[in-house]
Amino acid sequence: MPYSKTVLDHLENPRNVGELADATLTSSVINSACGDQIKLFIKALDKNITGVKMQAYGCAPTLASASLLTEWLIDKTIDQASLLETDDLIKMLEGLPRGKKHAADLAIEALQTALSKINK
Amino acid sequence: MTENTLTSRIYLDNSASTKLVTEVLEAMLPYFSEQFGNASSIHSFGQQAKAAMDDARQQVADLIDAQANEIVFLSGGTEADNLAIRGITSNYQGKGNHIITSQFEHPAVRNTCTALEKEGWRVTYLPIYENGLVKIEDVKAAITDETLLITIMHANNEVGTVQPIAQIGELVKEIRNQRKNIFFHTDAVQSVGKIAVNVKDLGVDLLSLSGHKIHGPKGIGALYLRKGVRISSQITGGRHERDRRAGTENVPAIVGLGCAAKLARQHLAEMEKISYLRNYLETEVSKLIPEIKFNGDTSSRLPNIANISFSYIEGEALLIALDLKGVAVSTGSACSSGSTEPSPVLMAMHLSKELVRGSIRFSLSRYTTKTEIDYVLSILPEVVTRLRRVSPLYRQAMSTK
Repeated sequence: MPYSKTVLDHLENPRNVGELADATLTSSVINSACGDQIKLFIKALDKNITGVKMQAYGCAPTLASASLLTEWLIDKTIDQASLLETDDLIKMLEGLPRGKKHAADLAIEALQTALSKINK
Repeated sequence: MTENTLTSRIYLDNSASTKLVTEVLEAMLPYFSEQFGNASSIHSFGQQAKAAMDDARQQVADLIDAQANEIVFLSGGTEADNLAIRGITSNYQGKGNHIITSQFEHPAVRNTCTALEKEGWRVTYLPIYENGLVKIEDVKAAITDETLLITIMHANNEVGTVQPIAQIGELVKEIRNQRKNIFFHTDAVQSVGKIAVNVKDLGVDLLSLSGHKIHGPKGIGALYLRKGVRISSQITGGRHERDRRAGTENVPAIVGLGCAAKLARQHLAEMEKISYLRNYLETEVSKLIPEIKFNGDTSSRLPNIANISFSYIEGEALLIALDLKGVAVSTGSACSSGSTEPSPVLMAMHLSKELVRGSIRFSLSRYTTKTEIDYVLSILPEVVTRLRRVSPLYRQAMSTK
C-alpha cells in the first residue's frame, strides 16, 4: 500500500463531511492539472475557529488531506490556521508518496483561499 | 447474498497479471536446478534443455493453431510488439513508409509507433468509437500504396473489446494479391487464453502473446511469425531463435509458458463460466448502484473484463478503498498510474474526463468464484456511497435533481 495508516484512516472514515449553513469563511478550489476539488466551510467567532466542514473529489490523499485539515482546524485560532503549510499537513498525514504532494497543496490552498476572505 | 466477511484477498486484476498455477511452477522447477543446460549446447545437458524448449514451442503453437517453427520466444508482450513492429519496418525498409495502428493500443505498440514516426515513418492512428472498436471502413480508407504494416490489438486491455481482426486480415490478404509487402500484426496479449485465437482464421502475419497473462511466469512471451515473413532481429548476438532473437533462452520460463499454454487450451471452455460471472457482476452492480456507465461494446468483448465508470468519484480513491476491503482492481484514472493524463483508451472512446477518472476495471480469471463476486457486491455499494457523500460533484448533481 502506497499510503500511510493515517491517510487510509481518513479515506475510510472521512471527518467533518458536508457543509456549514452558518459558515463565515468558505472556499472552493480545483487543481486544474488533475481536476481534484476541495470545498471548505469554516465558522469563526472572534478569530476562533468553532466549526469546519469539507467536501472533496479526487484521489485518496486529496480526500485524506481535506479530512485531516478539518480535524486540525477545529479550536484553532485564525492566526494559527494562517501559519499552516503543506509540509505540516504532510507530516500529520505521516507522509505522502512522491508525486502526491499536490493533494496537500490543494488543501492548504483551500484553507488560504478561505482565510483570505476575512474582512473583505 | 454472502455474508460480509472475508477470509482471503480477492484478486480481480487478472488483465494486469495472473497467478502462476502450481502445475506450471512444478514444470519449471527442474530447469532451474538439475536440468540447467544451455539449449545451444550439443551435449546431453544442452539437448535436454532444447527438447523441453521444443515441447514448449509446440504447446504455444497449438494454442493459436500455428506451427512450432513459427514461434519466437522472447521476454514478454512488450518485446514481442517491439520485435514485430521494428523487425518488419527495418527488414522491409524501402518497401513502404506507412504504418496503420489505432488510438488505443497498449503503450508497447503506441510508443514504438511514435518512436518510428520520429525516424521518418508515417503513422495513421485509427479512431476508436464509443463502443471501443475500430471500424473496418476506417482501416480500408487508411491503406495506401506505401502501407507496410498494420498493427491493431486483438482485445483491448482496459475494456476488453475484441477488434474485427479477421475482417482486417481478409482485407490484407486481398491487397497482398496485388502487392506482397503488406503485413498485419496483432497484440493478442489479452485475448490469448480468454477466447479462441487462431492465427489462420485471424489472417495475421505476426501475433504477440505473454506468459504472465495466462497463469504462466513473468518475463516470457512469444511472437508468432507466419512462415515466409522475415524480420530483422533487434538484438545483436548469437544465432538463437533462428536468428530472430539473440540471447541464451530462458528455458525455465519457456517451459512455464508452454505448460501455461497447454492448460489455457484445456480450460478454454471454462471461459463461458467466467463470462456468466462477469455478467452477473454487471447486472447486480447496475441494480445496487445508480449513476454508473458500462464501458465497451458488450457484443464483442472478452469474457473476463467489466469496465465500469462510477460517476462523481475518483477511481484511485475507490481502488484504494476496495483494496482496504481486500479486493484488488485497477482504474483508468491518471492518479493511480502516476501519469498526468487519464486513460488514453477511455479518452479515445470519447468518455467525459469525469467518467474516465471514475472508471474501474474488474478482470476475472478461471479461478474467480461466485463467492468472491458476491463478496465484492456486498461491499461495493457502501464504499461508493461513502466516497459520493464526500464528493462535491455528487452533492451538486443531487441538488439540481
